[in-house]
Amino acid sequence: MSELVTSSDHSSVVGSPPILKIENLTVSFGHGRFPAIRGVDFELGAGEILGLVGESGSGKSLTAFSIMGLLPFGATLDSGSVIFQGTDLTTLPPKDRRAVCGRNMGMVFQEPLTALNPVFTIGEQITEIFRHRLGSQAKEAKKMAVELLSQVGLPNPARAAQSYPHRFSGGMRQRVVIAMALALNPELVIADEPTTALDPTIAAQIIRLLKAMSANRDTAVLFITHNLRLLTDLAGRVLVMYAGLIVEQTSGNFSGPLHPYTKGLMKALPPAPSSGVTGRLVPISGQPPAPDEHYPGCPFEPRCPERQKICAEYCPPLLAKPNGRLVRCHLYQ
Amino acid sequence: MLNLENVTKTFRPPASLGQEIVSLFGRRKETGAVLAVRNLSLQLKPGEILGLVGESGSGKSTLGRLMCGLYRPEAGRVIFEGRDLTTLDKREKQLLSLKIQFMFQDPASSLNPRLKARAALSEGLIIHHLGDRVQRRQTIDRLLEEVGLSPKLADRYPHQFSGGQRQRLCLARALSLNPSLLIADEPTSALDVSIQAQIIDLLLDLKAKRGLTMVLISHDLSLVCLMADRVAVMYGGQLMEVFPRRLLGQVEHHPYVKALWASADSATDDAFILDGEPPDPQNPPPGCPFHPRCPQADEICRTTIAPMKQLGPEYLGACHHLST
Repeated sequence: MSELVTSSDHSSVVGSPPILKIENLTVSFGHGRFPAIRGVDFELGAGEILGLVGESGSGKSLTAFSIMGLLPFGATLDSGSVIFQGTDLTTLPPKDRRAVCGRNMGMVFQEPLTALNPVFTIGEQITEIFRHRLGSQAKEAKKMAVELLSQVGLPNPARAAQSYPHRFSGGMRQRVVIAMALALNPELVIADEPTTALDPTIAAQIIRLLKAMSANRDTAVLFITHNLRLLTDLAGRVLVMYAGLIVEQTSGNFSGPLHPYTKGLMKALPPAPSSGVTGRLVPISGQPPAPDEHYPGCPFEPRCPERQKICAEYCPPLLAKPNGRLVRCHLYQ
Repeated sequence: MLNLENVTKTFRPPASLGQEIVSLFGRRKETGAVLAVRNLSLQLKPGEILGLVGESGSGKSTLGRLMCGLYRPEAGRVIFEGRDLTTLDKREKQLLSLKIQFMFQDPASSLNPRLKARAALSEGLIIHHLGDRVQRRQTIDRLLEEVGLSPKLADRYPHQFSGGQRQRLCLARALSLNPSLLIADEPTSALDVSIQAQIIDLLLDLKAKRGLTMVLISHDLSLVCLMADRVAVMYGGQLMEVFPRRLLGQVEHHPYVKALWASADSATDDAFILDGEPPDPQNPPPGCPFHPRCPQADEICRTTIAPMKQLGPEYLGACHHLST
């Protein structure tokens, strides 16, 4: 029997006590006219790697920005709370929130070149973190920066610290951004498409680095991506987002997807070359809903091959299924 | 159908005034030249889909542009239907676009934002004097339907289309002159997974219907292996391996192909994660371009470029350690 899930039921899924708890997060543009995130709940355990998958416009990056308090101009947090280590960040005054986010969270951005300041050396940008947050002396901070750069596998870290970002390749820049995110040993790192701008063999290096760093320091990672295959061996738990809603929670290897959208994504993804499959993919027809389209029912209903009459009437809640899985679909009522 | 013979392409930064003065006195020192494609030979067969795989900077896009005459190689020949593209005059080059068309990676920047869809599609027809106004209108309506767009959308501007629709529009434009060869440079890398599958499906449909020959340039080995009949893998401006799709995993592959394959199968298979980075194209390593990252590299790899060897029927590889 399936039952309704309230946010408090999630703890059964997460082994360790959650360090981050998102409740009913709702974000929109134009003060509610264009909803972008429409009520997202999830929890993240200490040291856990959680995957967040979705296509562009599904609200996955905006979820990350809401946690960090970095919502872009025009976006507003309409309701919901971001509870980090027991404190609701949304109620904190901006100064205190900056202190928490800067000290206890780190973020790895998609495009490492825009995340780094082109007019300061790598070393200056990293020592700034230590000097500002820990009040370290210049000499000591510099030593820590070089040490950090060697940990993320930058060859010749002392020289790298004196170089400007443009001197580095994309992969090396992303290593620097990861170093900055992990500089203060945060409890949580949010990685927003960290490998999208990178080549496949370099992306593999970066994933391995993130995985090792998170294991060494027991850092929780929220890994946001549109590439399902990246999560296979990385994340224990994956949330699938569509049109601002979590539609499914599944395991990292996506075995036996439940929601028609997840099923469709799996079929639309080019299979691994060694599978020997050639020929056609099965595309999902249609397009994701535009931000100004309002559906009374399930947002995936117009594209869904398994739609029923009820799907257009109202949007189902997240239903709990065995093995800690969640699905938002009338098929499983 | 298309033959590339020992093609080389180098990009040089424009000389500064100082350099020009120095070169007047006969002391010319070249700096900053990028060797994008080095001594590369490749044959394209009619009716096939050739997948061209490589990382950024491997020269795959340059090669695509050399194939359709957008770039002139500084050495070697590009022979299409018996004629060397490098010797064509301006008029002949214009006629070439009736045969070879190119589809760009980013549909947003390859469509003129100030031209409506219909105007963008009719440009080629007007230049080549194909049909009068009424016939052009019919041709464009038919093309739009062929790529799965409603002819009603013809009066919209590019920004009014979604990413997938824009790529359909680019495809319609490329097909408007009824070419026999279509070169698609990363046609889906700007698109989401579910939309990518739609465009791939459409490309395969149109290829079958029109009997096109296609070159698919991509960094995604899994996508190329799904679609292509033959796969050509580039690294550092050179071809590492050319093999028919069905031979993947059946033969001993080039070490780079193995690593690329492993990263496409599973991103975290530790055994095959390559250390290091692709070579700096301004400063390529001597010998095999892959040797600094290759687990099998030895002395000969560091000094000598491996020649392209015929390792089996239709199977070519450039590695000192591969043998028949």
